[in-house]
Amino acid sequence: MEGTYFVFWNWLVAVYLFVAGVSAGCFAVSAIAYFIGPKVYQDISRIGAYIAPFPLLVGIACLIADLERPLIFWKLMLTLQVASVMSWGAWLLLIFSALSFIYFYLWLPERFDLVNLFKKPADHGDDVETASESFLYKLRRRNLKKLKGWIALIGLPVALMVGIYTGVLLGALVARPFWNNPMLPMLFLVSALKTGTASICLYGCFIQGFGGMSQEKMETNKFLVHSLDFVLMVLAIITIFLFIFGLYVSPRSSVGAALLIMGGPYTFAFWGLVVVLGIFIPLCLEIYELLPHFIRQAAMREHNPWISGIITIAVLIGGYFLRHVVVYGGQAAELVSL
Amino acid sequence: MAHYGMVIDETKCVGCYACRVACQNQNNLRAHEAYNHLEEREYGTFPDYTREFLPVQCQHCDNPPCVHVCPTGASIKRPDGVVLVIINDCIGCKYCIAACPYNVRIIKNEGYVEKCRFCIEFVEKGIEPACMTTCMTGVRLFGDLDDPDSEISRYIARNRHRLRQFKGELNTRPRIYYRKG
Repeated sequence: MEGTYFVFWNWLVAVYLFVAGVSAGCFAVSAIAYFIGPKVYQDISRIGAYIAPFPLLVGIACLIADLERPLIFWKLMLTLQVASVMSWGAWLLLIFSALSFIYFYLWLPERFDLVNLFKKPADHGDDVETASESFLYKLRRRNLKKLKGWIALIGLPVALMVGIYTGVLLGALVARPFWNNPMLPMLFLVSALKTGTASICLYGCFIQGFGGMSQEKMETNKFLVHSLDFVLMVLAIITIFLFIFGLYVSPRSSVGAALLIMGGPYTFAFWGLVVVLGIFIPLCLEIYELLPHFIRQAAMREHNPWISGIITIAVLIGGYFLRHVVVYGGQAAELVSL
Repeated sequence: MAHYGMVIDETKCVGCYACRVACQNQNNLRAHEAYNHLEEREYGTFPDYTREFLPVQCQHCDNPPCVHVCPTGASIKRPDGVVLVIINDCIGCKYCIAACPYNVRIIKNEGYVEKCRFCIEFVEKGIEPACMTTCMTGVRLFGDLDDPDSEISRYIARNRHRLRQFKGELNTRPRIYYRKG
């Protein structure tokens, strides 16, 4: 019927796309920070590794809950349909969640070491290695540094692929003009890295806190987080511009889809929440934080929890609403017409 | 091997919805479920005015997006050209509903996706699809496109310049041909 449409994917899918992005972003930022400064940016790597596995679990739960027959979701894992993005995605999520849990384990402090489980209390402080614990011992104690590097190296492309896949999942559908846009996967990837950085910052500032952290260390961490965020914000603006441009230079149905966010029902959610709240406000605050450092080569400003709080919360809200607008808008847009 | 297809002569359709009801009866569907629908469009203002009824059902595409996107392999294209859902393998992810440009897949209360199957169980016994036999103006013509002597093949050969494929530019290569004028 004209004017009515059927919403088959609801907010659960939007939540899934969002949290999968957060996980992928956390892992990617953690791995990147580990590569450019394993010692210097240790805190960022560690926090990223701590966060990465858990939003993904929520996301997978949402994904299964969205199925009409959640009890037989395992049929996904019996086959690989080469032409289906969703099938690739299911396997990708399996690999990524395994890698992120291994990475999480490798970053845990020594007292959580699995070797401790097999040790009798009397053995404490004893360096004698029994046969049963030798495998775990090698895994954790001897090769920890090497292993972290390898998992980060393998996991980084997988995390990036998860970030891209959430967009390709929607972008591969030729029937849906709002989704069928080559910039959508890029937009989701940039947003994933952005929300990943924001959740690391949020965790670092408000859950872990700065207890015992020296001024210099804090500044180093802050500089990396803000610089990454700044670059990603700029990329996000370019990608959003190209996304809308791409809709306008396509056939009539795509222009119709663009009108959903250019005066249509999703205008406020897109421009107000995604662009202004999710990008412009944090970008202005980033510039405020970084400008003295860039221009006068001065030291970073004093840490202000309000600024970090607003940036991170705003980026996360904007990241969710980007998925929300895209999921609902894609279904509201008229199917390509004859 | 037979390769089934259909011609829909839109100019004969009066919009009585008998095909929808016949299909619902044939397939035991609930009142809100339908494998075919009519797209009604109006053009102009009275008295310079016209309207069209476009009967739409699964186009049984030769390049079916719904089959490509299915993550469990539940959506299949049979060698005889019919696109089917193996309902035991369908997990209800609704990705095929998103992928179909014709909006003809529905989600059943039982949790799987279903759609027009060209009444293939009956066609195999030599009975024609319900939407075709019920139509009072003879809008639909169903048959084997591989057999050059079948009624549908000869109709297509004679009227090729008048026939269109619905959203054919999406490269779905539909098996249903529409006669517009």
